[in-house]
Amino acid sequence: MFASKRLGKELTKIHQTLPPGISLVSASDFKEWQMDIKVLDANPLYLDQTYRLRFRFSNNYPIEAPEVTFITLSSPSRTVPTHPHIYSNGIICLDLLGTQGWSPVQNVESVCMSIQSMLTGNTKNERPPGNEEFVARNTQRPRDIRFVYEDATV
Amino acid sequence: MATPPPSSPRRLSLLQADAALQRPQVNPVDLRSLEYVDPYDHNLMCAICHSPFVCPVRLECDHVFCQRCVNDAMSYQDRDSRVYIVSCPSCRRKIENRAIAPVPKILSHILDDLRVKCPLEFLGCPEVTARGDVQDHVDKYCAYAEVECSSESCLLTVLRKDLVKGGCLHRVVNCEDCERSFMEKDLEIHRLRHCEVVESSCPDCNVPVLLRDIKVHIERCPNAILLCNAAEYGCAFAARRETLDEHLNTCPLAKLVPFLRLQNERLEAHEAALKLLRHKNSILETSFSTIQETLSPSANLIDAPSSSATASDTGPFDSTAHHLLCLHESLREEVSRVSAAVSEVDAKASMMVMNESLRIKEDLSHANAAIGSMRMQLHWLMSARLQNQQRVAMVRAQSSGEGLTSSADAGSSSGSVELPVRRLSDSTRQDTKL
Ligand SMILES: [Zn+2]
Ligand SMILES: [Zn+2]
Ligand SMILES: [Zn+2]
Ligand SMILES: [Zn+2]
Ligand SMILES: [Zn+2]
Ligand SMILES: [Zn+2]
Ligand SMILES: [Zn+2]
Repeated sequence: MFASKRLGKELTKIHQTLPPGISLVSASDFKEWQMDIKVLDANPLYLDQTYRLRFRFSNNYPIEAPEVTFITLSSPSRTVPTHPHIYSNGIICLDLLGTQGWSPVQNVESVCMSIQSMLTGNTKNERPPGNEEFVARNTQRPRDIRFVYEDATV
Repeated sequence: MATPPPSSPRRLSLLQADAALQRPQVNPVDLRSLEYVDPYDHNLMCAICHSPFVCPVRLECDHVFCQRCVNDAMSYQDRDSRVYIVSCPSCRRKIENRAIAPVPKILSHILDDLRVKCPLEFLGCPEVTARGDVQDHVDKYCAYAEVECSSESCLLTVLRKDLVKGGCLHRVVNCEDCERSFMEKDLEIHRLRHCEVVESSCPDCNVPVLLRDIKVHIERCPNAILLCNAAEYGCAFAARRETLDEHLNTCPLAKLVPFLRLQNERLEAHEAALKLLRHKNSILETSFSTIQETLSPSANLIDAPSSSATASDTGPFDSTAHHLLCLHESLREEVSRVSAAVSEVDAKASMMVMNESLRIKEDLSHANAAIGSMRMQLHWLMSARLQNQQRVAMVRAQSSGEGLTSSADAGSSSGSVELPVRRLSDSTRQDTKL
C-alpha cells in the first residue's frame, strides 16, 4: 500500500521528465519496472549501447532497497555491460543497492543516475574478480549478498 | 501499510506520543496516502513517502521527515545493524539522540491547511477539505463512511447516507430485471452501474437502450449532439451527427486540426528540450563562474585599459574572447618568467657541480700522491727484508757445524727484531701526514 503510493508518485514524475539517457520501458504494476539507460559521453566501452535495468520492489519499498539488475534480451538487443562491479549475470555491486548503503530517500531515478555515472566513469573493460565462480554458484537474492566494497571509486 | 509494532524501548523513545493517532478512532485515515487537490511546495514533501509531511519531526541534523516514515526507516536499520546506530536517511549522519525535536507550529499549520480529497472518493464522496479536517469529515460527516446498521440485531455496517432509508439494509433482495440476489444496500449501485438487463434511455434520442449497451449506442447515436473536431481550438459549433459532417467540410478550423495538433506536439517537444537546455545552461554557468573565480587573480594582472578599450567597441562575445586572449598573453608572460628562473637555477646548479668536482679532483690527486709515497715505502721495506734474509742465509752457511735447532732460533729472533722497526716507521709517517 505504502509502496504503491510512493511508486505511483514516482511514476507521475517519471512521465513528466527524466534525465537524458534514462527512459522508462514498462511499469505495468508496482512490483517490477524496466528502465533503459545509455551512457551519454563518448566512453568507448559503452558507445551506442542501451542497457536494460530491471527494478523489483517489495511491499516495504522505499524502506527496503529495490532489487536492481541488468537483464539480457534478444530483441531489442540488450546485454549486460562490462564493468569491474557488474557480474555477467547482471547483478550490480553498488553499495547504494545493498541493505547497508540504501536510504529511503533514494528513488528509481536516482538509482538509474548512479548506475549511469558508474558506467560513465569506468575505463576498465573487465568483470569483477571471481565472476565465473560467482555466476555459477550464487543463488542468493542480490540484496542479501554482502559485497565488500573495497574501493571508494565505485 | 501498517507500521511494524515497536519491539524495543529504544524505538519507543523516538515514537513520541502522536496525538492524532492515539485518539480512539473507528477508521484512522492514513494521511500519507491522501490525494492532494492543489500542487504543494516541494519543500513540504517528505523525502521518504514523497507526500507532504504527516506529523513531521526534526532530527539532530535538521532534516525533517514524517514521524512514521522515519520510524519505519530506523526500525529497518535496527533490524539490520548489530551495533544499534542509526543514521539520517538524507545525510547519513549518525543519530546519537533519538529523542525527536518538534517542528515549528507554523509548519504544522501550513500542512493542515493543504486541501485534500476525501479518502472515500472512490466510493463517490465529492468532498474536498483541509487536511486537518479530513479525519473529522470521515468520522462524522462523510456520506460514504461505513457506520453500524441501524437495526439493533444486525452487526453489519452500511454507508452513512443509507441510514436515512431506515431499517436493516442487509436483507437479501432480487434485482427486478436480472433476478440476481443482492443485499439491499448494494442494490442501488447494481441497478445504476452494473445490471446488464435494466433499461436506460439515451440522453440524446430518448430511445430505450439496455444499460450494458448504452456506451456503444452513445457512440453511434445519430441524434447525439457532438462538438466540432476543432472545439479545443475555438470552434463553438455543436450539432447532431449529420449536420456536423456538413460543418466539418466547411469549418476552416477543423481542417487545421491535424496541423495544429502537430504544432502542439512540436511545441511540447521544444519546451521539453528547452527545459533540458536551460538546466544544462545553468550547470554550465555555475561551472563557468567557478572557473572565472579561480582565474580572477591572474586576470587582475592583465593590462586593464587596453582590454576595456577594445571591449567597449566590440560585442559581448568578442570581449569575452578578448578577455581570454589577454589571459592567454599574461599566462605566456608568466611562463617566460618561469623559464628564465629555471635557467638561472640551472646555471647555479652547474656552477655548484663544477666547484664540487674541482675540489674532489684535488682531493683525488692528494690521495694519489699519498698512495705513491706508500708504494715507495713498501718497496724500500721489501728490499730491506730481502737483504736481511740474505744475511741470515750467510750466517747459517758459516755455522753449518752447529745444530739445526740453534739456526732456527736465530731465524726467528732476527724476524722479531725487524717487526717493531717497521711499525715504528709506519706510525711516524702517518703522524706527519695528519
Ligand atoms: Zn513521509
Ligand atoms: Zn540529515
Ligand atoms: Zn467523504
Ligand atoms: Zn443490517
Ligand atoms: Zn440487475
Ligand atoms: Zn441515442
Ligand atoms: Zn467547426
